[in-house]
Amino acid sequence: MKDVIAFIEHKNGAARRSSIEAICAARSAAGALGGAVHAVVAGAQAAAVAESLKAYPVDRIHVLDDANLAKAGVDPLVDALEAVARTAGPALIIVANTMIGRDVGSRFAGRLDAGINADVTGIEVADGRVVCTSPKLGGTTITNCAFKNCDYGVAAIRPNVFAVNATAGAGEITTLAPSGKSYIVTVEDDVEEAAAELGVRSRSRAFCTISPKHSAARSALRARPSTRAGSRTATKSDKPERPSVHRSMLRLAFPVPSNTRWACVPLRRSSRSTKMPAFRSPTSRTCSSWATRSPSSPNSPNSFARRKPPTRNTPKELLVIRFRLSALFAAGAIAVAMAVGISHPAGAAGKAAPSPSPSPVPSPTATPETLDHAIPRLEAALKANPNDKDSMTQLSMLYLQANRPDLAVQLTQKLLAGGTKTAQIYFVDGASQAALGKADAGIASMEQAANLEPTNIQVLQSLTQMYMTANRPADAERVARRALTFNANSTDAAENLGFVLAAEKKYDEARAQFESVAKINPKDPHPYVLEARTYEDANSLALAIPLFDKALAIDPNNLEALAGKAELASAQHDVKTSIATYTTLLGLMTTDAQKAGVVDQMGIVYAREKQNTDADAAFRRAIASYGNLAEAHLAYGDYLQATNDKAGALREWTTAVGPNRDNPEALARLGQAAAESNDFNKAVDNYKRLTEVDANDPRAYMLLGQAYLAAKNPNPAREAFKASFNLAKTPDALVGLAAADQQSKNWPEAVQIYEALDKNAAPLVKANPGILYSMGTAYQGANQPQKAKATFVRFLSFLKPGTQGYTQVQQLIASIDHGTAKPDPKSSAKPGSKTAKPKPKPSPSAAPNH
Amino acid sequence: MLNPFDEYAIEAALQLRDKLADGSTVTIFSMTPESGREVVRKALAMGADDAVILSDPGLAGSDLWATAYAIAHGIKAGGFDLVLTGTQSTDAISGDLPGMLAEYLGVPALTYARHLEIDGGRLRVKRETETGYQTVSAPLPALASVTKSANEPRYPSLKGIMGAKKKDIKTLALTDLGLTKAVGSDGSRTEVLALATPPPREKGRTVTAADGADGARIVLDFLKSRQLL
Repeated sequence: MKDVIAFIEHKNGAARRSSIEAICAARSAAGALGGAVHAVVAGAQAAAVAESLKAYPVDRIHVLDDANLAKAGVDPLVDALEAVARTAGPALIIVANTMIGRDVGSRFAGRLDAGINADVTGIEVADGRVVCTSPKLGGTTITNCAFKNCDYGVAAIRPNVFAVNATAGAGEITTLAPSGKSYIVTVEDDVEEAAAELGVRSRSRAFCTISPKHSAARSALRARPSTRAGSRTATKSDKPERPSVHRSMLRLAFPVPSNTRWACVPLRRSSRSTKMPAFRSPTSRTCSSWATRSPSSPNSPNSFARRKPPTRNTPKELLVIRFRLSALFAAGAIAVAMAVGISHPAGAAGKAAPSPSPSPVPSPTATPETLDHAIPRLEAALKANPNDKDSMTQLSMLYLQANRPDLAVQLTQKLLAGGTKTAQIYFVDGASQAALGKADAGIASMEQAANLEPTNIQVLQSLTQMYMTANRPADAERVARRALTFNANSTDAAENLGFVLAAEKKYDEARAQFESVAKINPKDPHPYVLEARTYEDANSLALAIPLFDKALAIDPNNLEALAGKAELASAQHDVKTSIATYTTLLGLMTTDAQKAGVVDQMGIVYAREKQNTDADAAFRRAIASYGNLAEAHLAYGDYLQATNDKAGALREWTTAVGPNRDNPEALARLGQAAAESNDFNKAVDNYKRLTEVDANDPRAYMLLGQAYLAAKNPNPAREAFKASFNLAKTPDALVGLAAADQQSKNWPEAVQIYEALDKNAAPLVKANPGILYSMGTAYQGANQPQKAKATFVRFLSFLKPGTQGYTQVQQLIASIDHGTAKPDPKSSAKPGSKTAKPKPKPSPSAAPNH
Repeated sequence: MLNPFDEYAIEAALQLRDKLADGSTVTIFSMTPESGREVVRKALAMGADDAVILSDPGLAGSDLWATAYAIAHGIKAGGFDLVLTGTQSTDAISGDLPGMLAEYLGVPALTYARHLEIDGGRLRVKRETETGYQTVSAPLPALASVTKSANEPRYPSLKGIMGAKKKDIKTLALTDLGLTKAVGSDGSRTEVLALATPPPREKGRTVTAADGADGARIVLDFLKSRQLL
């Protein structure tokens, strides 16, 4: 042993202190051995870490900068260390005695037959031999252990024992070649929470995680016995069908259940992204209230602050997004009214209203400057000085408020990469990523923000909301509880927790939260409304009505209570009360869009009671009276569609799409309608326009790709899926890509993609075992019959023995055995069709038999 | 005595077996002198199906490397889909065995698992990290080390204890393994040169209110001297 190699652990571009200690321990050992000190740095931002190591006594720094390494756990780190060790020759390896250090050190020792000394508190060299001191038997014995019989020895040093010596060495940086191996370990999720003790779900999401859309017509018509979507997706079994790929591909795009079609669009345009929490400024402990100082949005003459206390957004939107799945606000109009326009009672508003507390933070946005002015000014400042971090920070927030998360995220990513890692940047980054549909990246950033400011209520509420959107209620509850713990008197925090609890169907606990809010603010009708909704959600309509009345007793013009009561009355078939309440609501609405929404709502009340003449009249009135709004046409179109008037629906949607064909909701509906009537070219046309209108929406490209596929046009389909994948990196886009390859008989690439999916998106494959079938046919096409067979066998385990599909797959496998299988799968079985009801069960190969 | 850290691994194995309910079996493997046979029987009493001990005078004095190398070959001899270990032993507390074992078995190592599931031929664990947890998966065969937050090991039932008496414990000797490298104290990669008892603890210093502002300085200096700041 001559050289000494220190293995460096690092995070966020900085080396761990124990790894610096490893370098310094290596230095003194190498001095005695007469060799050089190496450091091995691999993983994300390794290059930056390597630069920082130059300040310490290391001769050669071996770098493998690859953000993807972390996905394969420690295996690539061991490979990097092995590569350096094999080049250096017999050497002492020093790792920190940490979880990662032990993993890497022990794996290395196993790989190179190396001796290992753990928990080392001293390293000496005597007669050319390395001797390690370590306490054993719980510290009751100290041993001195030397290496023997081996070229390499590993010492895992106890952290905080070896002194740090900040003397620069030669610090020569060499780049390590990637191992080129494909790793079989997959890190699916990495949660940074000191107190993380809650469940994790898998990273890969189902295709188009569509949160319920509150288009009134659809929710109203859900009650109807046969809707068009219902007839498409209904199966004999109550269990959700596991479709084959052919079906699943189509199912993804077209017969989406009626209540979930094309969701989230209004959400992304809502004011959610414009709220800015107050962050502790780096220079002072006081809070600078970003939110309340924000300039007004160009769309609105009101200042943001006056418009609405920002924190109010979260609960209300949670309400709109998750909690009230049965929300019945008319498409767009009312939902926007609820999210933005409701003035808040004095009690709550007084607290959240802009406090003129002096803030030491020099904020250019403090002046009442509009976004129109502030953005160009900051862009100019940034152009003059591209590294002006303050401008970048300000600008990223303004972009977010101006609904340009795509621009905001560019700045935040730059700032984060440059080492400016404040809670504020992480917040903007998280909110932007979420707005761009990158839920996981958004959550990761928001978690960082929450780690940096663990008590900041707005950060915690945003994180709560994101967890809820990502269907992680347990995490949401944990964060919401934390928010309340640190803000015990905050009604927002209590309401927020109430929402989460209600979403988890813990209604009693949720009510307790809302009641505590009502106690603090007895003049606030809001908590009563929320409490009423818990009953509504639990289907105890009779208990909900008195609470709405209570809210209305406090404030007879409370919009939420009016809307809730009207809806409830309708649900109980009390048309008269419902219409009367909506009429009151109508009188309170200020904009035409809102009014149209309310009238549409009335139409739905009638439609629900099959009073089609009245319903029709209401929808027409909404269109005629309130400025010919696209929303009104959309709602009428939805209604017509539900009453099976396809031509009428098409007419309304075509009107809604506008002369410039730029209404995404209408385009999505028209595309779907075309696809449903098998006019795929027309579907392509509409979805193509949709991708032009919503160029950053990965789902639009997915739909386009699927329409192309259905139109048997694989090449543009491929491009569309690729675009979707580039935007959102979902495995579903890869499924589409593979299907396009399959259609164009590009078997090798199809095989490649399926293998990657199989390896990295196991939950998706498990949920859609039809992928295995396609993978099998791809193997057949690529002339790999054995692999094809193995894949079909796996697929078989998802099918129910005795069904037609099962038999067909069995025959397919048998035909491979006889060498008679045709590479073209078209003529072969279509397992997963209605006859096959696959049941999830572990495949036989999965079961350990030892 | 059964290493308490190993009890979690045994419990995890039993739970996985019971959940899979597909004829999978749990085998206890231990490298131990003959005297360890009764310890293995306790593990059998918890509900394992069978057991193998690797027992050979030639193994005496094996260090971590030799132990891992020998155990790996012993496990390979019997075949396996999943190897579960504890996270550490009570004496050396190195926690390095699982990683070395995995290398010699040629399987992925998912260490510090606090939740395990097998699904579609893949082992998926939640593994503890210093700042939180990761969900990690790998295809079987694989190895995992199980932390004590994974489960609450069961107590052997009377029926289990009685049943364990009848169960067969297979014994492997070095000659059964076909090792190509020497093990035992001669083959080991480390040797103990000296053993010592640690120096007695020095008398601590008490900082009291009487030290006033100096007290804070003393505490600060102390923390700095221990590299804690």
